[in-house]
Amino acid sequence: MDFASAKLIGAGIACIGMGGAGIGVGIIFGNFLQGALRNPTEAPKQFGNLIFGFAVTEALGIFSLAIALILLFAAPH
Amino acid sequence: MSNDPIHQFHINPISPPIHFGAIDATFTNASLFMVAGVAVASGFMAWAMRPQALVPGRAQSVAEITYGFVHGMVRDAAGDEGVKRFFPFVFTVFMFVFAANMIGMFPYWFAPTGQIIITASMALMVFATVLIVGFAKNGFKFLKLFVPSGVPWYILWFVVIIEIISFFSRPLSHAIRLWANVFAGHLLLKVIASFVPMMAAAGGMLVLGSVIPLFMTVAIYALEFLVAFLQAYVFAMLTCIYLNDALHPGH
Amino acid sequence: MADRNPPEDRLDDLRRRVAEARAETASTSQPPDSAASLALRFGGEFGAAILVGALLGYGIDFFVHTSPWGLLIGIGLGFVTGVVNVVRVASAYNRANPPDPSAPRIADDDD
Repeated sequence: MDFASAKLIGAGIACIGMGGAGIGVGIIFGNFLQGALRNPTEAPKQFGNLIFGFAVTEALGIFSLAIALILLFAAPH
Repeated sequence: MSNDPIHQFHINPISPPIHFGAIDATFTNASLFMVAGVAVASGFMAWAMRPQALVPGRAQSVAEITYGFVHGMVRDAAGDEGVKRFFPFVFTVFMFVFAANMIGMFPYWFAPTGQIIITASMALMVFATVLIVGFAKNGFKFLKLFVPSGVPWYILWFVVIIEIISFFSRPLSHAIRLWANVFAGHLLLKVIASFVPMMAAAGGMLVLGSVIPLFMTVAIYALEFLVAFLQAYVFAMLTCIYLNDALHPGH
Repeated sequence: MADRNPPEDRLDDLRRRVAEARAETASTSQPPDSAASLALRFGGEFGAAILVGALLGYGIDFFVHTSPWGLLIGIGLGFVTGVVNVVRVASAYNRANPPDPSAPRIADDDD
């Protein structure tokens, strides 16, 4: 296998990590909505925690996106 | 293939090739329907306001309500100074996008706002207007847009970088929002509508079942009319908000 | 003769209806966002910021030859910008649609 195609395959594999981040973000927002609909008046106070959880989870997905983009555009030849 | 849902977005030249140097200015179906959008918007306003009656008739009151609607939108978002400077621009943008969206709703016609290059060039026009007016009116005080007040100095540099990236991401999200709504709507419509002949051709019980996608098509069509208005409104609204930043860069 | 009111009543009725219609148009001058456009808005703000951050980082790489660090830092900054943008949109939306203060509290199964 030549180097160029190995790079492309590696980028594709790295993007699988985004799927994990998608699952995590879905769990976070799903559970937040469940809690928020049970107790709507308390929900806005937890907005910061929600965004914190979203950011930390999504950051892991962004790491894999960064790896994929580095493989595609910034890898040494 | 007639069932290809992307086929409706193909750009076909309808005139002999026209070139200005390296620029390909061939008149295409996209150009034709943009010209139609301009013609419908300006023609309707000119025709409806022709009586200039004190007590407006039906067409004239539609034109006046449209004028008042956009006027109120600009005043709410950008203040009286915004109305003085930018109302004609925002009104033109709103009327063009609305007319183009509505023209795109006709079957077999072309939706110009479903092409990202068209929405992107309008968004970049707004972006350039913000930059030019901002620097012309405020000079270097315009850069205060990137420096929010009340932030301690040790995280200020970080916030400034974030604000700069946020500022440059505006035309992109501005363009994508209109384009994606129109594009996805027309695509969905075509896909659901193509289920009707497919199920009818399959025979058996599926012939009766083909009524379901037919009703869905009608429902989505109604929704698309709402989207056509709403996205024109959102596009003009965001234009006002961004232009307001050019007039009042301090947060 | 229920449908033959005296003219004053009908005039009052018309006045009331005109006032109602005025109030209606005044309160609904801003149409509500549809769910699909809201979703596209959140996604667009987030994705656009990451894309612009990555592009800026890649541009810096291209001119200063610091590959791959510009791209990496650009994606990170773009991500932070995306979160900030989404928080701005979401808090504007929450301000426009505050929760009903009289909404009942439903006990959790664990309570």
